[in-house]
Amino acid sequence: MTDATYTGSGSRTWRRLRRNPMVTIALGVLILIALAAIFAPWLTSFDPYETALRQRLKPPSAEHLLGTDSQGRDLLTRLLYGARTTLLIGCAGTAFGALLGGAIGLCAAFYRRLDGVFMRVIDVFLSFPSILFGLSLAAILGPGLDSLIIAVGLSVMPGIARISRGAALSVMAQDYMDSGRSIGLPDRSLLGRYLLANAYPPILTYTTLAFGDAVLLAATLGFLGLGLQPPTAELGSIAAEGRSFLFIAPHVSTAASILIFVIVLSFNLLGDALRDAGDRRAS
Amino acid sequence: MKHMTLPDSVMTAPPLLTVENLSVTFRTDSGPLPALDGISLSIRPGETVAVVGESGSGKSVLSLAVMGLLPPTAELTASGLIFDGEDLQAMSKRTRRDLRGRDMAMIFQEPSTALNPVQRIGDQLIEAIRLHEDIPTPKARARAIEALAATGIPSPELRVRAYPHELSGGMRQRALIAMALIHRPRLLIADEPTTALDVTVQAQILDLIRDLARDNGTATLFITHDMGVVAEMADRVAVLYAGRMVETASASDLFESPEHPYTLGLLGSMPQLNQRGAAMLPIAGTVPDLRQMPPGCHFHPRCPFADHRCATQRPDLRPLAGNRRSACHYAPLLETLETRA
Amino acid sequence: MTLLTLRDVTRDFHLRGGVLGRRRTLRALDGIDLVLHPGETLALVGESGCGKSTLGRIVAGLLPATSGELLVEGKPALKGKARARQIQVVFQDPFGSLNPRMSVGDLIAEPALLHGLVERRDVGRRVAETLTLVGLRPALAERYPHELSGGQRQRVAIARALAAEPRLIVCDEAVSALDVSVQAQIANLLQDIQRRTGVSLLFISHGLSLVRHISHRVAVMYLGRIVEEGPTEQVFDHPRHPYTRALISATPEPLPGTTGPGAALSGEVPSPLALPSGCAFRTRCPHATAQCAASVPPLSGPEHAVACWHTDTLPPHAGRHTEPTPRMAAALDLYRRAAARRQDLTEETLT
Repeated sequence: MTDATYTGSGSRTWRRLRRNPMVTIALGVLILIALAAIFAPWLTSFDPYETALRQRLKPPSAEHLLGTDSQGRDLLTRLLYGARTTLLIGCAGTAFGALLGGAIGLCAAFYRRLDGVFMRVIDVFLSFPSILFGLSLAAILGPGLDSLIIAVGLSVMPGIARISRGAALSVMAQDYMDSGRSIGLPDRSLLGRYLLANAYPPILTYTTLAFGDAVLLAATLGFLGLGLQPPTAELGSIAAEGRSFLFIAPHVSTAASILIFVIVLSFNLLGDALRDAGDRRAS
Repeated sequence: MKHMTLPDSVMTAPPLLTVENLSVTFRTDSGPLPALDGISLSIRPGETVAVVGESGSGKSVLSLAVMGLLPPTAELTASGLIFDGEDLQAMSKRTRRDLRGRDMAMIFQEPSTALNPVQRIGDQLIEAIRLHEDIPTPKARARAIEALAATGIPSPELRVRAYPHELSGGMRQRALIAMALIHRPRLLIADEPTTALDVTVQAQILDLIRDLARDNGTATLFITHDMGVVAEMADRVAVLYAGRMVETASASDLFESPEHPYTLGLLGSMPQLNQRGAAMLPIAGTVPDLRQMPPGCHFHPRCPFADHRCATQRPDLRPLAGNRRSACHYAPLLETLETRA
Repeated sequence: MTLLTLRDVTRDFHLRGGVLGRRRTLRALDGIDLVLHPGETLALVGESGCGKSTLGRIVAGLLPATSGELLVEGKPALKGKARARQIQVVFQDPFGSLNPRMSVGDLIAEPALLHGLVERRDVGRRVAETLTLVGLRPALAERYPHELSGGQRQRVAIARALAAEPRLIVCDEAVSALDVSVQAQIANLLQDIQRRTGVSLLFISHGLSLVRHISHRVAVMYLGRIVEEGPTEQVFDHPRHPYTRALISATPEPLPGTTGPGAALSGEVPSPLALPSGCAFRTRCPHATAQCAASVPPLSGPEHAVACWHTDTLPPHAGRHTEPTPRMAAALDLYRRAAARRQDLTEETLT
């Protein structure tokens, strides 16, 4: 007999989240970067692709706030458009990976007969380092936005599938699953209204953490030249371009790297805070 | 029957444990949670006192308070918490810890969570022995086997090598009892020790606790929600409701004539005391939320006898004839209420 | 016409010990024959591992039987949704058996809508009626399970079962997790609902006292078999199986001085993975002989059946009777009258 009364986990998680200043900061930074990336054409008067060779590798100035790159393009503009591409690949990839991984995890827990096969496949996926995996996929699928999204999605998918299966298994052990079955509900209602509705919080938390990984992977692929081909702006490839001029114009690589770092860190902080808030033992 | 044959020396001996006006409040996210409110009770050596109550009654908090195992969020106040003539509140943490396991021991409802799952039963017993006694391991091992044998575990010399999960629930509870009694404690606190067990095993464990307590002269604080177990085990009974003691009496007096409506309701909720097939006598409503305690008598919203006085005025735990107390304005019930009706 | 008939129902579980361990078979139910009549309460009692919950799940269609027949109203039991329409379940843990993401109203509306028992526009009224039937205020429909007490939750679980208008409700330890005072409320509610709707109850319990109070017939199970079965009064007043007798003696009675001579049984239930030969109870039975080890005693007898080789030579056993002392009886009577008066009052103010 427990004396503790259970007050809804949702509202409590939210209360804890709001009390955490890290969440506000991380969320604010991400929203700011996302908005800047989306509205890039309105924020800057420079063209991200027009080269001006006489303006090459200029340090930051009043005209070019972050200076220019090796082709004389405004670096801030390049970064804004680059963040656009990188975030798009990261978000779409994560969404793809979360849908696929979530579906696999839930089905593995719900249809125990599929569990063995599904999880062995996931184990195979997990046994490759995700960078290596993304690299080979990107190489196989060839250049292009879709193949990058698929490569990023497939590399975050196994982790999400694992977490989803775990969360779903603990929900499957609850009596209300049997209760739903015992009133005669079809599988799709049980999977949605019962299983997913109760298993989603940890999946969501993990997915937030996976965003960070996905963005990092997207940037890495760009850095290694497996991303979108020049002159498309992409944070990883901007950092890679700047590498050749590291000693005469360090601002190029540095600015791109810092932006990647800030995005990934913000996602990770957010994910950590979500996880702590969802964990009822930590109070 | 045990409580009738208690020797007079027990009844006159000075109490081993005295709890006076004990209150415990938990600090929580949503404000203070009063779990115990002004509890007084004492146990003499060799005596078994049963503390009865439902969820939220505070009965488990009482056991933790006596053991000194309350979490840091708990605030304890008492005008007296005396064990064997010594003030528990004034004791250093160190002394208190030495007392635990040696002079006062506890057994829990769920033996599987009270045992370390990755350590053999024998090693856990040896550790418990050597915590308070400086003896070599082989000697401690012999003691451990002896202690397991005393609890009726078959082939104890094999069981010492077992891990907790290799034992049945009843065997685990026996092992836990062996561990609790290894230093022949003066006080044993048993917190719902049989609730998780099958009824035939429960009978064995109750016998075991009673026999070992009698053989060692151990005082037992027996915490339960089951009036049947109370009848079987207790010399004296304290009934707790929503953090307050509502009635205390000798077991024979309590079952002869309960003098608090809640006690009466608890007994009425037992199928055995109802006519077969007829509707049972339930207590209306549910245990109140400890944060929103009703004014006056905590029980009044559920009490069929309650009137305006009960809703406004807190009843004291006052003495009745024959060394018993009841916290009801209308005790003794039969005399008062029959004339009122 | 019987409502439910079980013929020779057996259920095996296959266990694998570790990665390379050999497969082992656990026989959870062995040759169960049972009938349940309309409007009747049949209790299944026994200790952990006796198979009573497995049997309940098989009856509810949550688990298939390995072999044997299950008839509902003389016809082979239907599956899935059609079975759910006939047989509903109330689970033990009211904190785990209600989907926390659904409101009380949704929980009760779900089965009624699923089985097409109510039009969508009438569902609110139906929910309110069902809530009233289980003694809850209709306003509770807006709440979520975590806002309710254990007793209220179990009432919601019962309401949800009733909403499918089943012929039979399987109550799997439906009151065991509740506070003592609330157990009595729920037991009264179940009896009341049975009187009003004629629903049959399969009442699964490890405790005897409540079974004795509310069931019409009892089946006592031990390690996957029924060892004694009959009308409740006969089984409790004249128990014929040594195990039933032990269960009755071991149940603590709420009056001091009624205890039998110490624990009735030694030892514990053996592992179902290593069942004793012959009668499974023989390892704990004080009356066991060589015959008990040699062969399994069949469940035999017309109305009050027992599976024991030595039932006719057992010493007589009168069951146990707990009578309250005169003073306690008078006080209980006073309480009963006051409670009844109080209820009249509240009902008057409600209407």
